[in-house]
Amino acid sequence: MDRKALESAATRVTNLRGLLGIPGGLIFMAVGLGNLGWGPFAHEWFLVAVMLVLVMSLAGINRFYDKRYGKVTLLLSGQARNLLLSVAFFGFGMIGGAVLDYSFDLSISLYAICFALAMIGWYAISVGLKTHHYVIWGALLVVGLIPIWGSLDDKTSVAWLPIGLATICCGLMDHLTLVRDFGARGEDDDA
Amino acid sequence: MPEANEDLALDRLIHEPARLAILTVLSSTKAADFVFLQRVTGLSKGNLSSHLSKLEEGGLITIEKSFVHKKPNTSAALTAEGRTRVAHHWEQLERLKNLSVESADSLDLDEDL
Repeated sequence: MDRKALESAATRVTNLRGLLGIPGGLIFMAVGLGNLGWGPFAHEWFLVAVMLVLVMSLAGINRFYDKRYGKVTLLLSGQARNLLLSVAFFGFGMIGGAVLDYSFDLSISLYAICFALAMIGWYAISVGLKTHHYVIWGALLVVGLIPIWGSLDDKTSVAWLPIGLATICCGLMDHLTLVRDFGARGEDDDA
Repeated sequence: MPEANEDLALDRLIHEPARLAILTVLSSTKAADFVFLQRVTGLSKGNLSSHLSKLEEGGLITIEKSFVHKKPNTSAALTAEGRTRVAHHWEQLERLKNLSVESADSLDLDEDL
């Protein structure tokens, strides 16, 4: 009996709800396209409508996971740890990255680099790094390091696009990890 | 040595593998519902239900039945006593494991002599 695996099951089921990464990644991309004024995203109402649909879909996906994998409430210490980790890593990735990008006018994307590093750190501490985390966030890191960003007017907004794509890919792989570890369907799912 | 045996006695209610798995999963949660416990332990609905009843009778967990989106939902949580006893049980298992390693080492030593 693997004690650690049993004790970490609640955290893994909570943090590997990967399908949430699909609307999450699309929100990142919509924000980027909205900032860049691309196509219909140039219209504020369109961007707001897209965001509303995506945010609503997050609630639907959470309900799907509750039904399929059950509901679990972590201990207060676990909840506090999750919150602290998320604020620290996402804060570093999103705010720290943007500040660094504006402060240093480099030909690389510090935003994409910081986001990739933040995600690697978050996964390492929260659920443990899997191969796909190295591949996906490593790829984002490489994209951020390619010196092509200097010629862009708003490189932070452009960086939202690969960040969104990486979030979607990682989410899909996290979902597959959850299915592999906890099963696709329970015997009584439809009972 | 009866004293030593008593020290290392295992809690029979907890020691059954399925029940130890349920309690260990619950030890990191405030509460968890039936579906979650079923997913994590891999037990059938009937087995899980029976083990939960035994643990509730033993005062190790509390069970709350409610309706969520018009469907019945069963949620389980460790009691304070359950939390203490499952932690103690794991400590006992760890002690037994260490003792068996020490015994094996001393047997190897005797054979060498």
